[in-house]
Amino acid sequence: MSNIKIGLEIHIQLGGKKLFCSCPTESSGSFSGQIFRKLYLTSGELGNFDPAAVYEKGRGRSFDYLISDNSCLVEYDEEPPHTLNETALKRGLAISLSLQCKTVDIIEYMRKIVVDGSNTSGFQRTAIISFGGKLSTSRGDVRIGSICLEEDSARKISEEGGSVQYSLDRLGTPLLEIATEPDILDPEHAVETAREIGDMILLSGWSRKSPEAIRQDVNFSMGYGRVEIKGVPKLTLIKECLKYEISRQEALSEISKKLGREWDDGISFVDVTELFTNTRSRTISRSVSSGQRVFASILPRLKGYLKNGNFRLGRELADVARLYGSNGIMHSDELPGYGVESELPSLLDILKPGPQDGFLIIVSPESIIRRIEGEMNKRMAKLLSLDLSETRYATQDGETRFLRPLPGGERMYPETDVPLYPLNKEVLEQAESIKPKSRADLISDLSGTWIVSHQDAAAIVSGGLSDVMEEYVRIIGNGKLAARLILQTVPELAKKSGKNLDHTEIIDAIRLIPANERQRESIEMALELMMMEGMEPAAIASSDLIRPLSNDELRKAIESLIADGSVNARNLIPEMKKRIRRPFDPSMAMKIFHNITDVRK
Amino acid sequence: MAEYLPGEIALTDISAGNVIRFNYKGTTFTGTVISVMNGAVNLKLSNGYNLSVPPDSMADIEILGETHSVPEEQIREASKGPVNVGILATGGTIASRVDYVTGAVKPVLNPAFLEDSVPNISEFTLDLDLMEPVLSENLQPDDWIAIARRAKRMLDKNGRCIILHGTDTMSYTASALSFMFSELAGPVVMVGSQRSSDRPSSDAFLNLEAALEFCREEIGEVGVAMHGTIQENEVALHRGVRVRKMHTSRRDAFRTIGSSPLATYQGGKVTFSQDPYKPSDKSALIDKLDRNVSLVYFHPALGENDLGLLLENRRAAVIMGTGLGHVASRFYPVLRKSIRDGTRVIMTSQCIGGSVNMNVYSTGRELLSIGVIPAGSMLPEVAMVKSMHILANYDDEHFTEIFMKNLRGEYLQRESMAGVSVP
Repeated sequence: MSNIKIGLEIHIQLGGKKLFCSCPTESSGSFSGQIFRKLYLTSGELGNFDPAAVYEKGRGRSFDYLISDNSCLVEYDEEPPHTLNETALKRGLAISLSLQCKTVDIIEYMRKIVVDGSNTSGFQRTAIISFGGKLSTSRGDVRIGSICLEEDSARKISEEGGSVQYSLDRLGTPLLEIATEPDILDPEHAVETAREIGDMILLSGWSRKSPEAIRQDVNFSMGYGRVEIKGVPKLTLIKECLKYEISRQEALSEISKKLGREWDDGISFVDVTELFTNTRSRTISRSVSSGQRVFASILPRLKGYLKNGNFRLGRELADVARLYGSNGIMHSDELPGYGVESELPSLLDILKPGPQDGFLIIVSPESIIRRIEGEMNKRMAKLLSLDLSETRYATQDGETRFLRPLPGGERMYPETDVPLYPLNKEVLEQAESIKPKSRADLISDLSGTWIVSHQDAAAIVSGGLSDVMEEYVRIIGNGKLAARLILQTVPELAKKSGKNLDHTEIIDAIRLIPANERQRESIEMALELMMMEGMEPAAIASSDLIRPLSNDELRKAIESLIADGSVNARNLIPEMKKRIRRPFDPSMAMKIFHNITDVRK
Repeated sequence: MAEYLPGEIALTDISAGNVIRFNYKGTTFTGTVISVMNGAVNLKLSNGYNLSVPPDSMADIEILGETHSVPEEQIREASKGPVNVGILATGGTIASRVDYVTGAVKPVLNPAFLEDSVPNISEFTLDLDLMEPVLSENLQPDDWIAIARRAKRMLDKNGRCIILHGTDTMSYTASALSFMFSELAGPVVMVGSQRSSDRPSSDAFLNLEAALEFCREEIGEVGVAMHGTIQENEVALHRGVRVRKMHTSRRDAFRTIGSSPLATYQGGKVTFSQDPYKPSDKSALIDKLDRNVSLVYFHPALGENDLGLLLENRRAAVIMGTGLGHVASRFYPVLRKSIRDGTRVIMTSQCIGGSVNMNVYSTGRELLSIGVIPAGSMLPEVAMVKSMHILANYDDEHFTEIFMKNLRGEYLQRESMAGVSVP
């Protein structure tokens, strides 16, 4: 496996505002309407057509874009982009510097043609902001080829037949694309690399707070052409996807050895709808009653290669059918089955397969069957010739599926609606000053600055709570207390009350308490009132309940308890806590108690 | 084919088209030089990205060879369907392509590229007339006349004519053509686009598809075909003298003011919501225009002298007044003098929607008594173009009478709310 090459493209969404308009990156999730669109094929920079674009055009789909509350004319492709989001740019540059990348002198936005509908404009705006960096890993350096700051695409909601529904909520979100060189040694190393990079950005607090904020694409080759695996949803799945892809390519290589590299356009569909008038297959009868037709073809020499151990050519053909909106195919290695049995003798009479031949059945509208036939023949020829280069996508369970041909190099041209953006010294200095730190540096910084234990600092850093910590310290001026509130008091109260903890809300509430009264006892009492009893923060702040007892009040309270005869030196403090709801200083209480009892003695 | 030139390569040795390898901040790049200008070398890298590099940060430059020059787009033979249609390309976004070198959108002479994405184009035989492409903001009244003459030739030959036009001033040209054609034997459909056709999301293709369908109809007037909504499935046909660009960037920027459009095209079908003018036996052109007309926007800070200067020596002036058709009373003397000196002063409203009515307030009545001509529901730009047309082709004494006549549907007969998307 020495010829295996693995590279990663890690995509991180930055939170805040979108890249080319002032819409927030977050939405309420509601939609106010939808926009119907089609995309047309356009020739690329050199007058050629991009293969991925030609392929998509052949599918002739239409798109409905759901209008989210965080979208505007820019996302609808009804207005040119506004100026570049400088905050996102500076953060992208800062991350670049942390990964030892060199920044470009001039940022030049490009239009990358994407006609699968995921961009209303039909292109994605993208620019290289830095290059030539490296990441140290336990197994050596992994070079960072380039970092791009681009617009995220629209989120796909559903697809039915030739119509795809997208939401505009994600479109235009700043997306940092960090691409490594193919220096990654194996699937385990890929996971480590992705984790290191992801960790740094999560710790910066700049990514969107959403599970989908980080996605990774994996570039892979083992000598049969480059495969780009899009959208691996979880870190651990990187390993699964790579293992799946390695075994898929090994199986294809074996098939090609056995069958030879030639494919003689052997798929030729005939209409066999008549045979299926009374079929027991529900999939087929449903499709036929909606006007589709049943087609069948022999698959010369493919018997036993369609679904047999590691041989899965059936799935490769099903991938083509699926992309044309057909509910997959049925092939000879899995028939009889799926309610198709009684039809088989007549079908074989028509197809007359030889002993080595397989066959397949597909349900499809008549209008596109020749196109599917052509695409299937093309795909078989490509697979047998072991040109396995293509764009694939990752499934939830760690497999990969065909998505489209690899896009060509001519898929980009300059985005002239966005002026060239020279990076001046000031921007770079600002980026340098906010450079994200490693986990270890963050922990020792935090523990040193706020004088908290290393253990507390580590917990705060790992929880992504550094910013929150800073906010707490700013209003209560005490690092230890802040750490205690964040790590103990608030989580405990949240657990007891069953309410979500919202640090912003809590900090706002503490801010209402007069500055000289923000001691531990008062704050903890305030939080208890707020979270357990649902008291309004303003009422809490002006309530006596959070005011510590003065020495006089303390003396009076203790005297009355002594008079009751209900307290002694051992139970004084718990008893007081039970009976007096206001905070007090226990050591002072003990002192006063002894004072009183000593005098009486 | 790599040609290695040993020794130091100076910036002056590099020119567009060279494939070069160089070191930039420690990384080796290979790319094709697009331009050497403004203190930066602009390259296209093999991954498709462009990179602009200041020459002093480039090191170890090697010239590896030349890229193939971009082949000239072939002018294909236009389609040959059963219906003849003249296509007059004047320029604008719809007849533009991106310049892939600079990325700027430039007009082109060959609109054949539209054919790939316009499904019904094969049903027509296109008779192409390509004018020197112009962005519509650069058009002047002489250009309107040239367009009208060429459109007439296309009409006489093909019975119908489509004009590809930039959107910025398309409604002015539409209005000018409407008045200049006293008779039309077939439809003149102007069509533009708000997104250039190099973009996959361009509106050009559907607009042209619809324009072709509108052309099949019995129409004897000038219309503008543009997206009716921002959806990619509806195109509206607007009457040339009632249409206005009401948004800077939206696909549905063009609106019929005060009523529904003449017709819409949706799902392959044309539906009329008003009766269009019927075609005449032949087309007739009255193609003189008098440029000596002002269009003045009244505002509270406008000085009496300013207005005086804008009206001086003009044969007519269209004022975009406030509300029902008013200007401040301090302008009465200036207006009185201009009218006495022979300038026709016409009142329209900057509200755009609705009619001027100068009988409601004393200001209006005063202006009428001074001799200001109320333009009713006529759009300000249309009133200007109509004045240019009347002044150049009719006796002076009939000006007001002809101006008040509804020549091409420029006056709304009645205004209701039905089908109106802009008041």
